[in-house]
Amino acid sequence: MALGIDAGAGKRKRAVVRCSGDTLQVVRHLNYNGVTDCAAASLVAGGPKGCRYGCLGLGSCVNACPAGAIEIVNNLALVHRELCIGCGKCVAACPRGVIALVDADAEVHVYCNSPAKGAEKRKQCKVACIGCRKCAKYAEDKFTVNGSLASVNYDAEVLPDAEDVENIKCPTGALLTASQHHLIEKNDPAWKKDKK
Amino acid sequence: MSRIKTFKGGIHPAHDGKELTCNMPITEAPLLEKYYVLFSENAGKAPRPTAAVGDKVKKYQLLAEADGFVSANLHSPTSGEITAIVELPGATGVPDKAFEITADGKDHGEVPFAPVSDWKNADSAVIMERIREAGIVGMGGAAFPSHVKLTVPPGKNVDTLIINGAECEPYLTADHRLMVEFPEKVLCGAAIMAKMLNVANVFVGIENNKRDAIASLESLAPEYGIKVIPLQVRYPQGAEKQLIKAITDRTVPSGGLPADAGCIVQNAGSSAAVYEAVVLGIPLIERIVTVTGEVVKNPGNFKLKIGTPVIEAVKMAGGITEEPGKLILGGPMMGFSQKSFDVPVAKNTSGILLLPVDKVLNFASSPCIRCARCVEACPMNLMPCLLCADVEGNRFDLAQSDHVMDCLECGACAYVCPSHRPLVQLLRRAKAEVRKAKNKGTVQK
Repeated sequence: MALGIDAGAGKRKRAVVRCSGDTLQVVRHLNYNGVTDCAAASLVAGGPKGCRYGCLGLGSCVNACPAGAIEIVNNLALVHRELCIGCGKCVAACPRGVIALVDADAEVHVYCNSPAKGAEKRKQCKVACIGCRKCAKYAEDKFTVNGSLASVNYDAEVLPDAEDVENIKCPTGALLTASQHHLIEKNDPAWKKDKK
Repeated sequence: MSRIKTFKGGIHPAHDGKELTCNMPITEAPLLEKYYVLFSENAGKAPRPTAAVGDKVKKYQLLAEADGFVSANLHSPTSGEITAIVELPGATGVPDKAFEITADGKDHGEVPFAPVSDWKNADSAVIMERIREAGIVGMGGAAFPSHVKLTVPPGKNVDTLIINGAECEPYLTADHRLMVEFPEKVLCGAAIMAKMLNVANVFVGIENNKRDAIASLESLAPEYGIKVIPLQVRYPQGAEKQLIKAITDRTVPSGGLPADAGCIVQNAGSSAAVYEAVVLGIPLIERIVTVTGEVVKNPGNFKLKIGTPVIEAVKMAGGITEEPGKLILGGPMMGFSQKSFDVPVAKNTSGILLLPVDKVLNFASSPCIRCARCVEACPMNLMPCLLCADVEGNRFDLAQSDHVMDCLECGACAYVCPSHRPLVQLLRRAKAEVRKAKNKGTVQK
């Protein structure tokens, strides 16, 4: 209690980049040779990557982050969870709205932000969510599917964990734990072997 | 003889590529099987579709109706059936919906509007309504609806009409060939607009490298009471404000309209479209497009229907001799670089340019050395180097007070920059941000 107002129990938040479309996963349309800034790049023919909704990977969020928690690997932003302070500056800096602030305890996320149709996304990106509903069928309270895009229900009482990811076996690999996301972004052979 | 007129600043590219197509006569295009007509071919609001999938359409039939004042009608380029509504990339790369029209091969349709052959005695309102109905837009590139441009804002006094035949963009010769081959269309269209606006001074501004166009217009111009003005070869001579400055020596105030300087400017292609709409009763469904570039086998000028896929247009020009490095719709200075060949020809597509790989330079930009060449080149008297420093520091408020909104994105600054700085892209970013802030402000009010 301060000033007679109950501050309530705030929940710690952390940023998550809802995209795993790095150079190796997404079709690139343009040989982009311009300003290294996402907002400027998205003005050129809708951005250099095939997907209109994914991370552009030019690091506007990196420049905005006061904690130095974001790194660009293979043209994809990677949030170092242990450094993120949940201030939300990256969310404001991203022209694509790929970054979201979510419950800091959440381990599992859907790493896709494209509302496009599943078939269209599949042409552009190997790791897009195609809306197959596999995750929602497995645990209806933990995931919601809107059109062809699944999302984790962060308000649920029990958040999904690594075991759920293991059991669901997401066909494209859009559903990942945060630590797996680090592997895909670093193009770690461990992740590739897993996917085969 | 007085000096040839021009404006302050600007550049002249050493190689303008016009020799590839400037002597190629306009060729009629063969009828294709499928056309893809984009919903939104005009600047401003997209028109409202009036046709649906499965509809049989005739040539010239209305496909979409203007939705509001700053919007333009859209007509079917040929007869056939609307087989689908597909999503295609527009020229700017932003996807847009398009009618897929499967032609029936007859290419038949009745002329929808009654021809006004006696336009000299016609009422201004009738002509204006016809220009609006025919869906005419600025065919130089901006695709701004012509009836909006021709409406004089209240309280403004317009005494001059300028037809823009400068065509200062390298490589493009579509307007050039139009003026050489159909001078009467351009001049008569101009005379119709002049009659409608009730202005006495009508000029056609043409760059001095198009001697044949100047000659062909000059032989007919006195008949219509129009003056042909040769202009210095200088980019961007065809920009509205620069053209007004060169011809009338008037300056459009910062943030103002040409009407503030008593002028209205129309593109030569739009002028010919006005002639066709008023005198022949034909809506805008065709335009002249330059298909060019060093990798095109037989570069030339083609009369293409709106909705012709770019890939088909390139095939008409004999295809390509080697893998192109870049596809640009419009000219190399202000045109839009494309991701794919799927994009169709729109009302404002003046050129299809395929550059070879060795002409598409990949360079790293280095810091500004404050040489001020961009300041010298800027035709709007801006300081691009300072504006870009503002943008890189995310100070869009400073950029706005330094008049970034006056920038016409001509690219002269980036062309001369010895540090290869991506100045235009930064300026476009600033303009987008300023516009965004402005829109937010109006919402809050």
